[in-house]
Amino acid sequence: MANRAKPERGAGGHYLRLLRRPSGAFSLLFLALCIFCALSADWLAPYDPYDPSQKDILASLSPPSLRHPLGTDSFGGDILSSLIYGTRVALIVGFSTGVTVPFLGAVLGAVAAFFGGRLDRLLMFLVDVVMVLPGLPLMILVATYIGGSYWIVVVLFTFLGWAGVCRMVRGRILSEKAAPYVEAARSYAAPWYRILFRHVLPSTYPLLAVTAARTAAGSVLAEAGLSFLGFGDPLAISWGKMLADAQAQGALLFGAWWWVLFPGLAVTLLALSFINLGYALEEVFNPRLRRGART
Amino acid sequence: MNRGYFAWRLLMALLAVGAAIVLNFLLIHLMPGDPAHRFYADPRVPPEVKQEIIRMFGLDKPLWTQFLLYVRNVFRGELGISFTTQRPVLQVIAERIPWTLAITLIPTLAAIACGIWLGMWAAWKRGGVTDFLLRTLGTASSSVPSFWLAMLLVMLFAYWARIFPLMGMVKPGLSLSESPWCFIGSVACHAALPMLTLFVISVPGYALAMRNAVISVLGENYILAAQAKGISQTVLLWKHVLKNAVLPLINMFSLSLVGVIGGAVLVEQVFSWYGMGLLMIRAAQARDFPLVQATALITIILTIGANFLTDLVQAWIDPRIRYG
Repeated sequence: MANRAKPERGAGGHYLRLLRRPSGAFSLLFLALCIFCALSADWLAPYDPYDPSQKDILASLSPPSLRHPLGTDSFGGDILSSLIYGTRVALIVGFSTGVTVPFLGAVLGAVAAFFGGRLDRLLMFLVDVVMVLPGLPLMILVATYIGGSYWIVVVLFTFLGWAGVCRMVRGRILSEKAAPYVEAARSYAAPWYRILFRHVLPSTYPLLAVTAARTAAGSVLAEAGLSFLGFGDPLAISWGKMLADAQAQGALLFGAWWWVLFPGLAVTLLALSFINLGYALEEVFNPRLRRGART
Repeated sequence: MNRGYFAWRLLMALLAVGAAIVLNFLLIHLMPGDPAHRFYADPRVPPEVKQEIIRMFGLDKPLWTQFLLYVRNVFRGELGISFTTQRPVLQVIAERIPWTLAITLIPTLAAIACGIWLGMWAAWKRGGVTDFLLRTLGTASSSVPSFWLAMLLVMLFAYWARIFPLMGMVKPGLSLSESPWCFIGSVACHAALPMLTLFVISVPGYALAMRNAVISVLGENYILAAQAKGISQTVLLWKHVLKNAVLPLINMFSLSLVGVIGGAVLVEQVFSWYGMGLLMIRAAQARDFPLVQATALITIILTIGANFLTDLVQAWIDPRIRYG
């Protein structure tokens, strides 16, 4: 509490801690790699997976080789190229939900805690309802009607994900509202929005950063799942769609392990990077969790 | 059991079901196009027949009348006729529910039992090898897609080792009435890999939650008092610690049900295990709207019901919740 008066000093040093932890450094590195791949896919990828003429049909289902470092699929498409292009969908989904979910949750949580009364009860009821709705069946339901798209994941994740954040933020703000510094701010007649946005809400930022990272991980996994079931964007290459093709075109029957292993590994590593980033951020913001301190 | 708490939770569960019904209804009508279009899409259908079809489905009535009709039908258990099989959807779904429950419930319960034991061990030997492995795997397991793990297991145990069948539910040609034991054996053999997948994916999560709960309980004064009494380690762990440490796990179980019931879809797809999930996917691919809607609705109701039950169990075990 005491050192919150000057959060600027030394904060940069704390961020460097991210790099000092092996898992934190690895996560940042992998995330940077993915962003780099997504941005420069057009010249980085050895083949263009969207161009059917670049499929090496004579070398279909070939294991990793010099020409195709990660092997080929059943039409001779280069796995590495598809993998590089697939980062785009994964990152778009991950980053979009990572922004929308904490934002919506924070706004609604702050509203619930700050205004209380009927609005609070209504919001908390909605939270209770939304928390028990299963995401995947709902996504399939929506996809049946409007057709496959990865934006379904973003929209439904936002629609379902705000609830948990809202409850956390509300709890945090309720306890923060009673803090002496808020009373002090009230005593010099600070308006409610100033108290909320300037004093109370910043105390939830660490929580929101952690939530953003975890939501991103969850949505990357959900997008992969939805694409795997065949409800992703039919035109965009994504890691989940690669696995769906592998499943549908019998990669398991031919023992084409490279076609299964690499896309799944990419999904896992990206989700893991996001989760680890969450843990690392938690540690940066919460000194009690740092190494050496007993929890 | 405190009556007020029970009534409150029941009300919440019913309202959630109500919300799901409203959502389901709205979805049909918010979507572009005409729900009955497929029946008169053929230009040869005369206009009288088209009118008759619209009247038959009640699509000429105002929206709120349609909604009331829909709610009435849901409560009567009339969720429509499947486009593809021409049978009542509820009947189609009821046949598939046991198959899904079999491959989800058994591994989940096994994972909880295993998680309790592993978590207890890791917490007792805190900082040891088990503890380290558990913490690493606990983080990793939450980012492994279940369907990918399923595919890898198929690769390992069905393609290379050839221990288990690749996919399906039973060897073709076997029937329950002729040779019940062969049938059950074959089903168990086919169910092994889907169950193993769901088990492997959920153990680390439960174990990690248990470990953290045990560690916080071990710091309590009553544990110190029990130790001072000189009781054995076994009694201490399995009697005094377990009771309090297992509470967060029940909460987690209730939350993970959402994931388990929904996540079974993916695993069923990999193994062609014809449960509710695969039914829903196939219905969605065939654009069998009544069937998709009913599966989604029933999945949601099952989830809400299971959550309600675990809430009650939790309140029954932990009196603090009832008054919280």
